[in-house]
Amino acid sequence: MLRVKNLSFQYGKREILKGINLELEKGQLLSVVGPNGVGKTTLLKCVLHILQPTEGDVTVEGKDTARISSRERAKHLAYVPQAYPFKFPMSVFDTVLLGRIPHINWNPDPNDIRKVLAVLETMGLESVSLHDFDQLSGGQKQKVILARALVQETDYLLLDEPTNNLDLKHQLEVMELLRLKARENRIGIMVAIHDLNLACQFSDKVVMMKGGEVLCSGEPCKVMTCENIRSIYGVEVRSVTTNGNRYFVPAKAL
Amino acid sequence: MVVSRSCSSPRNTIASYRSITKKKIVFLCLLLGILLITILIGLAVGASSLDLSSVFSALMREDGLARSIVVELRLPRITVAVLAGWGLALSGAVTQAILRNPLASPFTLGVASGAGFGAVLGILMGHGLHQWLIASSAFGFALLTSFFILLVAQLKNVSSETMILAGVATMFFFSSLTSFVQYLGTMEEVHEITFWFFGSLSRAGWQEIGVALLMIAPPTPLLMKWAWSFNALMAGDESAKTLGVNVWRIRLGGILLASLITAGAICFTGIIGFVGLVAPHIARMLVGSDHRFLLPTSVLLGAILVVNADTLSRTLWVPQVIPIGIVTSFLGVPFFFYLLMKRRRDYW
Repeated sequence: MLRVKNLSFQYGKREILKGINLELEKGQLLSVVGPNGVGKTTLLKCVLHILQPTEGDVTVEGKDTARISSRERAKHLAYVPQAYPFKFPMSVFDTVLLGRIPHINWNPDPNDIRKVLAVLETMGLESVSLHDFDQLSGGQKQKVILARALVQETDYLLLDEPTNNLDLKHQLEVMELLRLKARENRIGIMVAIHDLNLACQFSDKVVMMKGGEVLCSGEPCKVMTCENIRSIYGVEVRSVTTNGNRYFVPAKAL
Repeated sequence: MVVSRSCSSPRNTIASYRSITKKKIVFLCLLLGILLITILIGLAVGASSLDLSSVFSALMREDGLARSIVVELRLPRITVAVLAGWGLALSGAVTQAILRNPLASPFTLGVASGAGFGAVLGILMGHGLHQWLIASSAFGFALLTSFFILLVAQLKNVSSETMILAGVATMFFFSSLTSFVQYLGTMEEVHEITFWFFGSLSRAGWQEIGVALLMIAPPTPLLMKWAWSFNALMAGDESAKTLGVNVWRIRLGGILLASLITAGAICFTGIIGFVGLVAPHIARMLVGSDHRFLLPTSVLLGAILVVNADTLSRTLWVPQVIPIGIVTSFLGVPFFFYLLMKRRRDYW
């Protein structure tokens, strides 16, 4: 289990995160929702130790992640960032192979190559595997970075806005893939996400954030209510239920 | 020639990936062969031309005019050319990787100018006598400049363009300092400094070569060991951190070693422009961005470029020797533009 205990983060004097507590089991998909600037990305970065939390700790199966080497940590936690600042041309295959870095010393062995290929196949990226990353569409790029995180073979995977800039089809594909990987490979997945409908439809657990704190967390159908959404976003919403899924329709900003 | 993008049928990804890797290794061997041939040609031609068999016999036998030409005159300068090309290209490739900036090189960041100023100070203080003084003064100033650039990059989290602007400003600062030192110096000193700045391979003897080799060779395997970390840095600091790379250690260590190598490459040869920027780019176009191949390819290309430039500088205008820095740029720039146009790809 990935456990975040009483985690706080300050940027200068500004408190961004205040006493965050959350738990993520293997095989679970957890969505973190909240308005822009609420600290979703900061939370992910603190869990990954990209930023050092000012207080609190993160444990994986009881192990304090601050006390293990970054290489060891990279075998437990993988990350899909929101932006990929590639300045140099790199092939899709080589980009995905980066995910094997925590496991290889200098030369990737045939096993590493096979794993990269297997992930590329399951994501339908095999045909572009020798293309340049930069030539791909936004949806394909997102999948390549996701593939890189998957070949890292970690127990937990954290994604920052994985559906941003994607069209409807790719949004669904990515979310379905995440849910599938969570179930099949027993990975605990944590996504920071803006789309409430996707969060509600695909998550096992939702954490709603307000002002750097957790407002509420639990099963989507229990915590994602019109009142909670109004409270964190300041927007009046109505909910519609079709085929057993709940959808939110914004009515007006308060 | 281009190995990195020879795409093949998607079904055979694993096979084609392996064959690409194999091709890259073959390509490296090929480059090594080209370098050796280039060196032999460099030993043979010049103000008095020799055929290859007399080059070999001069290398083997003890005395004779051929031996003094080959071993005493040409071999040292060609060794210096190899070292300079190796060092500049390697430090260029490494600075590009750690700053994730295609415009970075020992020159565009002002590191070479810093090293140059340090070397000039060393020359003046030791009157050109003490190699270690020149080398350590060059290294000191190269390091100072590198840390300044790194500090600017880290503190302000600046864009690539700003970083290069800071580098160019640093470059001008050190040029002014050098001019100032020249202004204060005697005629002989001024002459010596001017000559040094053109870039010359003729002043280095075996002792200087030994010093330069010590500054360039030991860091090379260390940097090669970090090839995967450099690869990870291509994906950004955040991704690199979550891939288990100690970003700060690699960046500090990389800057330190790149400064040492830059200082070693230029402290006895003067400013040989362009190799540090262009060799890594040519290498990247040829073998791709995987630093396991990119670093050795850059090194070999850099050495080939400078050795060839030296041979040309000695043969184009006999008996004059055109300063090596000038020829290197004349040789490198058109080739670079050719590759840039041919590939039609966006590098920056």
